[in-house]
Parts: sequence; structure tokens; C-alpha cells
Amino acid sequence: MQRLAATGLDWSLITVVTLLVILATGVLEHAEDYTNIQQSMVNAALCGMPAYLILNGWLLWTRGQTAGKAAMSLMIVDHQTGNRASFGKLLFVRALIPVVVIAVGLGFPILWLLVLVDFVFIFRKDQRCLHDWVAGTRVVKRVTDQ
Amino acid sequence: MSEPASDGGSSEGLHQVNTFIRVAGTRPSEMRSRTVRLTKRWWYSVGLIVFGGFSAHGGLCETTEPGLKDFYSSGWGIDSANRRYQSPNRTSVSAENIDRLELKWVYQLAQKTPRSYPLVSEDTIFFGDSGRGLVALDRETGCTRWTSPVEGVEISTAISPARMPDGRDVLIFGVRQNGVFAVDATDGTHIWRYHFDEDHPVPMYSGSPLVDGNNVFVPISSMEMGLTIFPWYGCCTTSGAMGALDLSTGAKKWYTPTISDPPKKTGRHWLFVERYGPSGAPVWGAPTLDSKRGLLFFGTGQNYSHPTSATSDAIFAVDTSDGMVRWVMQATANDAYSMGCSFPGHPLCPDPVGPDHDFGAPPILATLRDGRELLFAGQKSGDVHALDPETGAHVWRKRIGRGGLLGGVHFGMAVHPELELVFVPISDRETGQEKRQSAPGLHALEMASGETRWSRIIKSRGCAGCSGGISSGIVASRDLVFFGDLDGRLWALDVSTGETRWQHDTLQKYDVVNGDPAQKDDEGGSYAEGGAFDAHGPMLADDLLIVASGYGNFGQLGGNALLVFQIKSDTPP
Repeated sequence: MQRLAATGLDWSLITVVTLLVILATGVLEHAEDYTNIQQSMVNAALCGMPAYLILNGWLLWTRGQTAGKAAMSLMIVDHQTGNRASFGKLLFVRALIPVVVIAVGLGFPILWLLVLVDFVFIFRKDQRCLHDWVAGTRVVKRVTDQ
Repeated sequence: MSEPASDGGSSEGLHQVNTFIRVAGTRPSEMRSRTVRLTKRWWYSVGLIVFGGFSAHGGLCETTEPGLKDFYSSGWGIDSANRRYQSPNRTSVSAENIDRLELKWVYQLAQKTPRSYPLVSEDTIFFGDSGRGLVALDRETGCTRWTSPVEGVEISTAISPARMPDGRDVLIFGVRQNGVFAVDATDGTHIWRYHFDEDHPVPMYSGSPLVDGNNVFVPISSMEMGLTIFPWYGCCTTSGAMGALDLSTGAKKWYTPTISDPPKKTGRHWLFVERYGPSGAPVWGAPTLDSKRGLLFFGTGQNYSHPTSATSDAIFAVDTSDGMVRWVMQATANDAYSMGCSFPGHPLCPDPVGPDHDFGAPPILATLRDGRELLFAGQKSGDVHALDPETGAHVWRKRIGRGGLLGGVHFGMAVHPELELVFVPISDRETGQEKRQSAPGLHALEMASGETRWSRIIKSRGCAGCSGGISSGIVASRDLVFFGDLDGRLWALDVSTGETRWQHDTLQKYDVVNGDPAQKDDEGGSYAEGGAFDAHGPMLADDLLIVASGYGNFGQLGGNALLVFQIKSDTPP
């Protein structure tokens, strides 16, 4: 439940920051940006990547957490070692995959089923989603010094 | 830009699909075994998937080539004056035999917001079946002669027949976001496509093209109206336009924007987003031809942003030869409205916001018995304007009902030349804009004076999703006027009195001559559903009444039934 709340919070925040990225870059501001509707939708989805970095980059780098997970006292660790997962793994494997799936899914909506499949994996005993398996990570409760 | 399709790879692909459809249609008994053999060939399988819905074409005709000698209309308005009047030698449907008008067959359309208008020849009905393509259906049985797949989602216009200088019969139509197409009428092979993307970044083809000689006149609207729902969009820079193409080649002849001033930056919101104007004045109704004067008349919609122009909510007269503007009559000034206004506090809703009183209905050019010619234009405000076609000066103006975002007069009126009546369909759907008394229904005005001869109020019966009133185009004959309402009822009224002569309720499921396997009833048969009538409305041809039922936009009742009614013979077979 905490993971779901963290994910919901992450998506809400990313949506807001993505909107800010779209506004600041002007990538969807002019009529010419809509001559190819699918391309413009892909552009919108790709704006989510810098939004993700702006929002979560520092937290992922230093604590292996996204904003949502930090709020829920969760963190992402390497499945094998239990140590904080590497930044590259967190960013380029774990975070990039859903963005690419959604972006490509704008042209081939059937790919969005992958997002559903990814989500359903959370009901496994080890609660590792598909993107955890691909990245070799798992989400654990963060134990604070206190 | 123009894209000849005769030597293109894609046209070859289309040709293969057309060939396949024809091969499969040679004999019903052979069809199954041939189909089994052919589906083993991967390219046909790919073709089926790519162009989609072949399996939906259950009934393929033995004869694939349509008759092309006798067409019952030239485009949106039945004739190029857009009168929407079918004379007695073109329709035998009348008050004397209307009680024998019966449903003949129903074709299941692929989508539930059909927006095409049927073109009828001596043995074929051509219709834009969005999602599948342009289809040629046998008049007698509804079987499919050919299907011409088109790129893009929606065939959004009427279909105009034309003959090229080389003798080829072609069909001209628009696809909402993808351009104007010319296809060979004999087999649906693509000949050319033109997209005005050199003049306009996001053109939209909502209005029906008009063909005259070697000219194809194309009304141009803009996707910008829809883009204004995005608060990050820099609204707005595009203008509506009228374009002319060469029928033979699809090459552009001229292009006349409805706003001549270039857009300038007018402000900024949310720190980054720049706003522009003037913009808008789209053309989304069919143009009207005045051969005698060499003029083309058409209406425009509202501006999308401030400052407004003197050409929005206006009737234009342009020269057919070069597109030069002869006169402009603006009916409503300072009308700026955008889709952003659908959301409270939206930064792209113009301030002050206008009433959105477009001219969507094509103007009608009609001649009175005394020889005078008048141009009739219906507006979403509910105003009907009678203009001098020479100058654009008002002869009379009359407002009916309340008007609003969805009409007033929305898609089109009709005239009766002998009775000298203008039939004015009024939607008056509640949009919370105006406090005037509504008058949804049909109103007959005298051409010469604008005096009301009769009014017939058509109220909603209160069903879910229903809203009463008449939004779609209508069609008149010698003694009847036909229309469908937003409740899904199809009506025929007496032209002289407005009394009901015939009615059919389309809020039902129909057995169909084709069918999508996904839409089966409990007994395994295919069906189509009726819904609200909107957009282009009914067509009369010979002893047939043809109309598409269903229009799912604006929260209305969607439907996918192409209905063909016929006068049942009064003599036993």
C-alpha cells in the first residue's frame, strides 16, 4: 500500500513538473509542433524524462529514493547485495523503461499492457515489479538512524 | 503538397488490397475457399491487418464496377448552389407514397460518429466509412463493390463526382486532418492527395469540397481550435482559408486566407507561453458556386484569440479564377472563442469571450420567381441572412430562437424554389450562454421577406443523451422536407404546413448487410445502432432515402447505422 501511495505521489509530481518542462522548453507551444500528432505526443512523453530527473535526480543519487518513496520511507536497493542501487541502474534501467514504453505506446497502444503487467508483479510474494526484475532491484522500508 | 498516387508505392499497396477485395468478391461460393488460400499468403494477411476491417465487409458484390452515368448530387448541397432541394425528376419520394417508405437495408459503419454524406449513382451508394475508407455499396443489396482505404481517421465531407479531362471518372472528398483525395470512381484507386501544409501548419478539412470544371474548391479550417484546450499552447496563429486545386493533377491553383494580417504577439501567460492574434475565422462549411458572376461564397467561424478580425463570423465572396476577395459581410463582430473556454479559468479562453456564432451552414444561392437572386446564410446565432449576391448587402435578416455554441443553424438549411421557402433547422441545444427563448425545430421562411410561413418545434423526448432540436443538414423535395433530430428520430414534414407525414425512430439495433465480428447480438448476428442525427443529414435519390444515424461528439448519441429506405412498390411482383 505504501508503495502504491509512493507511486501515485511520484506520478502526480512528475505530471506537474513535466507540464513545467513543456512550458519552459516550448516544445509544444506552436502550431508547427502538431503537424505530426503522434510525434507531438511522443515529445510530451519525453518531457517526462527531464521532469523525472529534476524531481528525483538528487534523491536517487544520494539516497536511492524518489520523492514519493522518500515520503513513504521507502528506498530502492540492489536485489543481490541489499546496498543502495547504482544511480545508472536506477535511472537508465529502472526509470527509463516505463517512459520508453509509454512513449512508444502512443504509437502502439497495445504496449501499454506492459505497464499493467509491470504493476501486477507487485502482488508477487517478493513485491518486485517487472522493472525491478529488469534492473535487479527491490524496494525496501528505509530504516532511519532513529 | 500534392502527392500523385499513380506511381507511388502506397498506391500499389492500395491497389493490391482493392484487387484482393475484387478477387474475393467474384463468387460467394468461391469466396471462402479463395480467402483461405489467399490468407496463407503473408502479404495479404498484412494488408488485412494494416487496412483493417476487411472481415467486416461480409457482403462483397459479384459486380465490382459501379455505374457512373447518373449521379443524384454534385456534392454537399445536392447542387453547386447548395439548395439541398431534390427536384421531382430526381426523387420519386413524395407525400403520396411516403407511407410506403420502408427500410431496405442497413450497413454497419466502422465508427459511431459518421460525418460523410452519401453520393448516389444509378446503381451505387458511395459513402465515407471512417476507419475503413471510402466504400462503394450496391444500391439494391448493400453489398460492397470496393473499398478504398485512406490515410487518416475520418472522411469528414460529402463526396463529389467529377470527370477529368482524360475522361476518368473520379470522386473527390476530404479526410479531416489529412487532405483532399481524388480516387478513381471505377475501383477506388488513389489518383492524388493534396494537403495544404505549405500554407497552413495544421489545416483541417471539415467542409466539403466543391468541384466546378477543372477546379476543386477546398474549405480549410484549423486544428488550432482543438489545440486551445492545452494551456501550454501559444494560441493562435492560423487563419481559415479557401483553396483551389487543379482537378487533373491535384496541384494548387490559389489559396486565400480569411485573415490577411499576420498574427502578432499579444501577451504572455504562465511566464513562458506567448499569445498571438488575430487568428481563426475557419471555413468549415461547403462553398457555394455562382457561375454567372464567377463567384464562390462561403462562411467563416469565430476568431480564436484577440484582436478579432473583420472577417470572422462572415460571408465571403471570392473570385473563382484567382481567389480575390470581392466582398465580405461580417454578421457578428468581436467574436473570439476557443475550446479553452470549456474549462473555467483556462488561460486560452479569450477575454472578453465571444458567443461563437460561426457560419457553419453553407450559403444557399436561390432565384425568386421575379428573377431576383438571393444568398441565404444561416448562423449559429439562429440568424438567417438574405444577401444580395452582388454586393453582400442585407435584403433581410431574421433571428430564430436562442442560438449558441452548437446552433442555431448548425450544419445546413434547404430551400424550396417553387414555394419560395427557406427551411431553417434550429438546434438551440442548451449551452447556458443565452437567455433568449429557444425554438428547436424546423422553420419555413418566405424567401422574399423572411416572414415565417410555419414553425414546427421539435422538442426532446427526454431520453438519456437526447437533446432535441435539429443540428444536421436537411433536404427538401417537391412536397416533403426530411431531417433527423438530435434524439435520433427521422422526420418527413409537409413543405406547405409543417405537419408530420412520416417518422422513423432510429434509437434501435438494426440487422446489417455487413458487420464487425466484435459487434454481434445474442444470436450471433451483426447489428448496427442508431443515434443522434448530426452533420450532413439525409439524402434523397430516386426512390431512396439514405441517411447515417449516430453522432457521438458533444455527448450526443453515437451510432453506426447507414440506413437505406425505399418506396415499396404498390404493384405486386
